[in-house]
Order: sequence, then structure tokens, then C-alpha cells
Amino acid sequence: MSRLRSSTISRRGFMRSAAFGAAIASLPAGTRLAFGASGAPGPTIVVLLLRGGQDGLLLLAPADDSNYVAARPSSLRVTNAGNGAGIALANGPTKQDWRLNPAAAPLAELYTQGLLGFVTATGLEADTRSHFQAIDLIETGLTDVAQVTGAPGWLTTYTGLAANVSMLGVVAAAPQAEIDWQDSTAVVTIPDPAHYTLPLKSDDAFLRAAYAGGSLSAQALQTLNVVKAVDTAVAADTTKTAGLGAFAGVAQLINMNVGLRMVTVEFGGWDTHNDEENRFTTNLTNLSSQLAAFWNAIPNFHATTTLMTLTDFGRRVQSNANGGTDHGSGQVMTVLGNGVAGGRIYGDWVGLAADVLDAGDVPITTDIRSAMWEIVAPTLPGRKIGDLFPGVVSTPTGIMKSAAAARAAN
Amino acid sequence: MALTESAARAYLDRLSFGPLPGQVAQLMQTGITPWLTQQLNPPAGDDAATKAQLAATMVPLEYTDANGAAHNSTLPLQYLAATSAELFALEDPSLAFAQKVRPGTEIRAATWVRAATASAQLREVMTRFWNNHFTVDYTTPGEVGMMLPLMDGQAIRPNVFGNFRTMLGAVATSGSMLFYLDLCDSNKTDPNENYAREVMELHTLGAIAYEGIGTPGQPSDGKGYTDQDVIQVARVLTGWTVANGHRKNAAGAAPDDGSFLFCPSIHDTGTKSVLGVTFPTASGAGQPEGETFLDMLAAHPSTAIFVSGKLTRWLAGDNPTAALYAAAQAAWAANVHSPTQIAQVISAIVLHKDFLASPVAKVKDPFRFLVSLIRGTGAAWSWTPQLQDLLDNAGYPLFAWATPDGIPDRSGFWTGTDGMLTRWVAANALMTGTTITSSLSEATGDASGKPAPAVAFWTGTLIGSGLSATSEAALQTLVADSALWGKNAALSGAALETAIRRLIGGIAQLPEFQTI
Repeated sequence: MSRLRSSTISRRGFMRSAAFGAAIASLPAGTRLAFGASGAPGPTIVVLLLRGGQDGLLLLAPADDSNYVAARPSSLRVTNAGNGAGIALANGPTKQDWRLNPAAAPLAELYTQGLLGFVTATGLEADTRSHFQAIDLIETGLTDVAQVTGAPGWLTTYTGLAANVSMLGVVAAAPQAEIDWQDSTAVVTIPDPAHYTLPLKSDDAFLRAAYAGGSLSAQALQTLNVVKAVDTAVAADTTKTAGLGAFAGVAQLINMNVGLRMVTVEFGGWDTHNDEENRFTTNLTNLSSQLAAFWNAIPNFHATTTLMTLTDFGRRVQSNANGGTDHGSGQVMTVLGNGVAGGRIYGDWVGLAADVLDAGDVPITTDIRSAMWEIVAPTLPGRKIGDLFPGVVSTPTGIMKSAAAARAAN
Repeated sequence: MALTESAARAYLDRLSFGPLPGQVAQLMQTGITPWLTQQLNPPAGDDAATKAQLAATMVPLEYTDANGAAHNSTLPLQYLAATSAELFALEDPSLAFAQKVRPGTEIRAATWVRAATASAQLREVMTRFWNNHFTVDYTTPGEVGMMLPLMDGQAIRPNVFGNFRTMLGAVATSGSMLFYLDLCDSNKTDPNENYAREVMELHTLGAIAYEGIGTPGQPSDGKGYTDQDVIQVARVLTGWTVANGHRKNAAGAAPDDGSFLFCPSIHDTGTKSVLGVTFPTASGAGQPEGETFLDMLAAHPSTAIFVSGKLTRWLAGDNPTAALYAAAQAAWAANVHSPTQIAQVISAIVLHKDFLASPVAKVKDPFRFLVSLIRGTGAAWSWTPQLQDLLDNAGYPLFAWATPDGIPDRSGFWTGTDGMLTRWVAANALMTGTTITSSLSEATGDASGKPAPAVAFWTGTLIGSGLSATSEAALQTLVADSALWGKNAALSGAALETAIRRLIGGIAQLPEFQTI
């Protein structure tokens, strides 16, 4: 895959589901329409897809690791000296000099405040270096590509498990969500709440009449209901969207307090096969400033919002000849929220010596499904990991305060 | 053989960017075969009407120059027939990005013009398919857009009905693809795997063949390719690059015209093994290794499965029958060396008894939706930036899809709430904007100015006799809206034109116009 656009794109979310719409449709009508309810907001999970395969080793690394230094030129490393040295992070997984890429300075602040943490060397133990298969697997929570077709995405499953999901409960903040084409009802896709409207109001009645029956009726009627709900809510929204970039719509959806439980947003541009120094720096600078601005834009929802990143895969330890890196394995997950036991790097780190690498890649020590479960579990009381990811065993890293507390209690 | 109205309309919906007024009736009389034969053998180049429309097309160019001065002009298309050297001359550090990618911007506009105007409609439908199959993003890097007229005009268009191997080779050596998937920067020291992986996964064998996986209904041959193959292919293809004045060809010359160049000094001369074959093969070391590799891909059974299957869905809808898949695949495999391979496959699909049998109609992607509306009105129109904005809003960035898998071609991708909404909004925006330039009240051919004749004429034109009772009733509500006829029995002049445009926008929002 080539260079994703380095500007902020949010083109595709990644709910895939035949059953997703059905999961919503199957809820009692009263539940479904209970958006905009007053009272305390429910928990919201923001899934940030870093499409392209973010190079975790240029985000966060033990800067003094001799294998790391040997594998890459300094331009493709987080360094601990000189111009552009990385920002030292306390509480790394090893007693090495863990540093964060200086382009992520706004994230370092959140880290220091204890709001942001990382899970390193996480991923899926699936033997794929294909972007598209990797995304399929992350969406379905499977490790075998042959099982993907027809499998429900884990967001779909989540929707079914969560209680009282409103019509605007699960949203892809993009023009399209990855869905099974046989889906019989509409997936809620809202790239920009501020422009999510029928300019001619009379079209609502016309369209309701026109789609009273027929094959696209369910999609059309759900669309009209969603548009009406967003229209109403956005009119009262006061979110200042300047500087939020890819996160503008998500911040608005959260601030609208319409019962958002899960929202997906995409920030691409990480497929850095060449010219990685410039492209990665630009992209990380934009992402970090937008992410910090996003957090500041939702002050009333800090207690209930948790954001996690997912990417296709990490990248090869050894750089290539074009000042870039090719597709690899273990990735870094960034997690942000009041519920995060931040200021710490989680996950086992076994180093980068040739004999521990996975075919030249960062070996995975934390099943990403376990990490994802750990993050969403506080929003699904009474559920077990097997409800979301059948057959997967939970091995908490401790990145969520609740999990840390639970582990301490054991 | 005469056709029913619904069959004729379905053929034109799928094999063209939608019928012009009167075309359905014509096809009902002639039947599909003569039409298909003519469409599969179009004269080379643009027809006269398309040439005229291209010549009249004006596209904005906005940029800030090196001195900080803003430039804002609207210029005709000047790069469609440019040579490689003329295009590569834009590789000039003093030029702004918008100037550098101007050829790509022009191809984007020309794609609209040709899709809506060309009489060789099937060629346009297939050009969209192949350009999307071999997707590039004209902005990343700028050289992709700079060289795009050659990819579209020389690699894709002449081969859309031709031989797949020929097209694969033309694309592989096209500047846009060489820049997009980084092959031009690869070298023997540490080969770049980007193109090596995607040429197998996306252009030929398909992900179904990765690790020999296969998918239900479309098994791979069980052998497949592996990550090791990707690494080895990257080595085979080292030396395939672009002439930039520094890289030397086998004769020691270093041309600077942006054309394809094989550079022996950066080619890995070692032994490689790809898909079980040891390189160099008997056909030679150096550039012939890559050619042999492309031969292997084009003739591979997984390529027949993957690419003919994708083509079948493009033409016949989301869920072709097993027999239709099989017919396409068989035609593909039987014609691997034929100069008319793809035409044979298209014929096998279109003339198959199952072609029109798909029980669920396919939802139009935003490009097809808008072009079919322009064509359906039969109106005069001119390219406007509005068209590009509508497409971007709808999540269909023409030649700018961010990932090399191309824009998805399945109904479900366009039926989320934003997909439904943006089609509706776009229909009205197109009809009430400045893109359509001729009078639609005149086209209605009714002197009374009453709503009923207008409804009858435009539903007949855009939908035909398949209009449902629900839709008909909804249109009665619509025409009674004060923005249309309201309480007036008849309208004239500008008010009538506005009402008729709103009516057409409404008809385009009906369920019947969403699908092919």
C-alpha cells in the first residue's frame, strides 16, 4: 500500500456487520429512540484506526537499545541525544531509556498527567502482512483469514452486548463503514454532524412517503430518523471545532450527549515505505495536536470517554533502502481517558535481539483482543471476554484503573 | 432479438453510465447483441461530441507561488495528450503542488466528461473499472497526478477490452504506478516491497491466494504466495524505475523524460525464487525477470478467479450465480493469450442467461449515480467544481482513494446513513446548481406548465414503466410543495424551470433510481 494521504482523512470506519444494523433494529423501539436522554452520560469508546500500519518503533522505543540503534538510521529512531531527541517517559516496561517521538509532545503531556498510556508489542498472532487482511482480522477479532467472510465484527457484537443502545449509539464518523454488503439496514455513518442535513426540509416527508416500502426502505427510514436526530442535537451544540481536524465530528457527537457508546474514526497516512522521517513526523504532529485538542474539547465527558488506537500492524525493525520501513508485526496501542492508569507503558517487552524477533518484526506479547477487552470491559458490566472475543483468554496488562484494581485485589 | 423494457434498461444501467432519453426504446428494438458488438469495438479516441465537450471544459487552478503570490485562474484542459517529457517537465521545484498535479486534475474532469458524453459507453464503464482496479492516488506523491494522463490514456484505455497481461505490463511501467507504490525508488541494497506485495494481492492473484487461503465459493489453487514470495519479488523487480536524468539504462544513457527505465546498476542480480520458480529463468536476467514474473501472474489460475470474479460483480451485481462466475472464469482462462481476452470475458458475462437474473439490484456508487442523472436528463451540461465536491462529500474521491485496494464495489458500502443522505442531497444539488445548462422545461415538451405532464414525462424518461405506486404517490406530495407547483395549477418561465428541476431531483431520490 502506498502513502495514505497525510492530511487528516476519515474515509472509512470499520464496523463490518451483516448483523450490526439488525442489532440496533432488534432493540425495543423505545430504547432505540431514547437519544438525547438527560442525566449522566453513558460510557463512550472512541476507536481510532490508524490506517496504514503505524511504525510503533518510531513512536515509542528504548532509545538506548543497541539492537534498535543498529537496525535503523537515527532519522528513523526515537533518539536520546542531540537535536530532535525523544521525550523521556517514566515507567517504561524495562529499565531502559524509553522515549516518545518529540512530534508527539502533546501526548507526552497527557502521559505525564496520568491520562494516557501505551500498550507495546501488541497485535494479533496472525501470519499476515497484508493491510487488508490485517484490518479484516482486527475488525472481526479473528486470527484466521479463512474465517472472516460472514463473521460479525466485534463492534457488532459489542452493540449486541451493551444495554440501552440508542439510535446514535454506535457510529462510524466517516462516509462509510466497512459492512457486509448483504446488510439489510443502514449503518449509522456521520462524517460531519454540522453538515448532516437535508437542505430542503420538505424532502423529509417526500422521502418517507417514497421509501414506505421496497428494498431500501429500512435504510432510508433509519437515515431520515438519524438525520432528524442529528439536526436537532447539532443545533444546540457549541463545540469549537477549530484545530480538531479528524476529531471534529467525534467531539461534536460526544458533546451532543445523544447516547454515543462506540464511535470509530480514522486517521491514515502511516504506510511509510519511504521518506518515513518527514511523513511520519508530519502525521504524528497533526495527530498529536488534534488528539490533545479533542480531549480539551470534551471537558464534560472526560469521566466517560476512553479512546484507543488500532493499526494494521507495526513495521519491520530493520529499515529499508528508501528511508522507510515495510510491513511488520507488533504494534503500539495508545489509550487515553480518565479511566486509564496512564503515565505507564504496558505490555511485556522482550527486546529486539535477532533471536527474539518474529521474522524481523517486533514479536507480539499481548493479544490485542485481550487489550481491547480490557479497555471496553468497564462499559460491559457482567460480561466476559468470551462474549466479545470467543475463545480468547484475558490477560490484563493493567492499563485500565479498574483492571489494575481488580488485579491488585486478586 | 427484441428486449423487454426492463431488460433493455438493465443492460444500459449496467453496461453504460445510464440510458440517454430514448435509448431504452432503441435497445428494445435492436436487442443486446448488435449493441454489445459495437460497444466492444469502438473507434480509438474520443468521438466528436466528447472532443467538443472536452475542448469546452474549464477547470480551476489555484495556487500560491514561491514568492507568496496567489494565483487563481480557470483554464482549459491541456495535458490530456501530453508526452511523458512534457508531463515530467512539471518536476520543477519552482512549481506549486497544484501545478505539479494539474495533469491529474484534468484527468479527473475528463473522466466525468467522457463518462457522461462518450458514445462508447462500455469503454468508459470498463475504464472506470480498470482505473479503480489499478488504483492510484493522484496526490501521493504529486508525480502520480503529474503522469496520470499516460496511465489513463496509454496503459488503461487502449487495453480495457484487450489482453490483461498487456495492461498489467503497461500499468507496471507507468509513471503513476511506479511512483504510487514506490517501485521507482527500490534498489538492490534493500528492495521496497510495496508494489511487490500489492501487484499480487490487489492486481492479480488476490488476497485469496495469500498463504493459499481462498474464500468460500472462491477457493485458491491451494498454493498461493507467501511473505517470502513478496520479498523475492521485490528483488526480481529492482531496476524497474523512472528516467529522471540520473539513472542509467543498459546503454549507459540517462534520459530525463519520466518514462519507464530499467536501470541495471540497481538490479539485484542474485538468484531468487518466486512461486516455486527460480530466477533468472531461461528467458534471461535483468528486466526479463520482471516480465517473466508478470507473465506468471497473468496466467495464474488465482488471477482468473480473482480478477474475473471482480469484473463479474462490477457488471452483473453483488451476487452473481455460480454459473456466471464460472463462465467468466472459463473465458478468462481460455483467452489468456488472446488480444481480445477481456472482451471475450465481458461477452461471456453479458450474454450469459444469468446476467440479468440477480435477485437484488445493485446500489449505484456516487459517481454512477450522478453521471446517470446527467445522462438521464439528456440536458446540455458543463463540468463544474460542484461535481467534484459532490463526489468527495459522498466518499468517492475520484483518483484519490487513499488505499491501493480501490473504491469498494458493493451495494452495502453505499447504503449506510451517510450514503443514502449524500445521494439524495447530491441529486437536488446537481439539478439546482449550474452544471446543467439547458432548459429542462423546454425538454419536457409540454406547453401547459401543469405538474401532471411533467411528472409523466420525467418519470417515463428516468425510470420507465417500473415506477411503483408508492413512488408515484410520493411525487404527488412533492409537486404540491410550495417550492414546486404548490397550489398553482400551472407555471411558466423561471418558476416552471425551477419546479421541473426540483421534480427531477426528487425523481432521482426515488428508490427506483438508486439501483442498477
